[in-house]
Amino acid sequence: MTESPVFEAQVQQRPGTTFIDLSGRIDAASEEGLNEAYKEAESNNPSTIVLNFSEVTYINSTGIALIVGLLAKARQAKRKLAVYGLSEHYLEIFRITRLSDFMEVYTDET
Amino acid sequence: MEAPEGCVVMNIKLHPSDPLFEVILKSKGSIKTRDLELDSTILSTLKTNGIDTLEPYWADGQLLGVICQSHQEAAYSEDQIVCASPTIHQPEYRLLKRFTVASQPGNEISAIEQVTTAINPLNPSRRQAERIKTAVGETTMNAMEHGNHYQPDKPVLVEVLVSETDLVLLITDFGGQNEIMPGEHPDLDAKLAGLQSPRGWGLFLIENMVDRMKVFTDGTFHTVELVLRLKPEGEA
Repeated sequence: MTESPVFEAQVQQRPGTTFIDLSGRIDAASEEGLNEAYKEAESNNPSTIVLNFSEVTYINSTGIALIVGLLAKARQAKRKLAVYGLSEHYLEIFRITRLSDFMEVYTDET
Repeated sequence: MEAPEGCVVMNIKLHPSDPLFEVILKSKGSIKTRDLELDSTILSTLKTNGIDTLEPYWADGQLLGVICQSHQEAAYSEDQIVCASPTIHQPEYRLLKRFTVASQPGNEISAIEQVTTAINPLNPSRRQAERIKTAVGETTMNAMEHGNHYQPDKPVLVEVLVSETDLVLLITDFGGQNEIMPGEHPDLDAKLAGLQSPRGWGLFLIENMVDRMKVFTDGTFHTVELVLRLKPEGEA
């Protein structure tokens, strides 16, 4: 997957909701960057944090574990964690892992 | 050593890190490889005596057979010569690619890329291709981490084979001596409650991505066989 760039995360603060735009691969190498982005996202105490997976090319089991970790943090803070932009393949993985039972899954940003 | 008729002898010394060495030694009994057949009695004799030299017989870039010889010259006999001929053995499976990756974090990406390239001519659907990528990535990661403990000198062997209906992936590491503990089934409720580690999704993902999965160990090597149906039954 030479077409898979390394992980990047951009945080967009909006009233009540913070978006984290993710790109590249979500795996062990992205742990620090993902957790830093999440920390920045929750700094304004938003009621909802939305993870945008539109530009994500690969998620492995470690990446799933990182998302589970973020979900656990969000639930502890009584915050909603939502996702959008997942490909069909990763929608299926969110279904079989049951992540989609605990997170709102949207097809687009609206 | 004189080659039996139809075989070519090449003096190549293989070491445990050589993929061909792994191919020969990783199976017990009647060896499975689609390229060659080793009789279980002969294999057992070879193992008893210790295989020192393996001489592969190649044609058109394909491994067609192997001549094995005990390192104990005195014990050498006709029984310990093994060869296979393409005219004798009609493999059900065709080898698309065989390669190794060093056991280093991130090298599963190289395995995914190489498998993706190998299966491109089969025109898998997007769904199949994505499932194969996830299965190969997770299995290779497990092999590097749990089988080879991320020791770079211990490679992971990846073989991609195809039949009329199935794609078969064989991923082999050096973890054949490790006791395989049944993994904890990942439970998201338990993970969110802090009762289970957030990790531990690899095997679960693999099992959900393929149609069949088998594990073989032989005391040295540990092989995971992943089978994905490319065509439904009856459409071969």
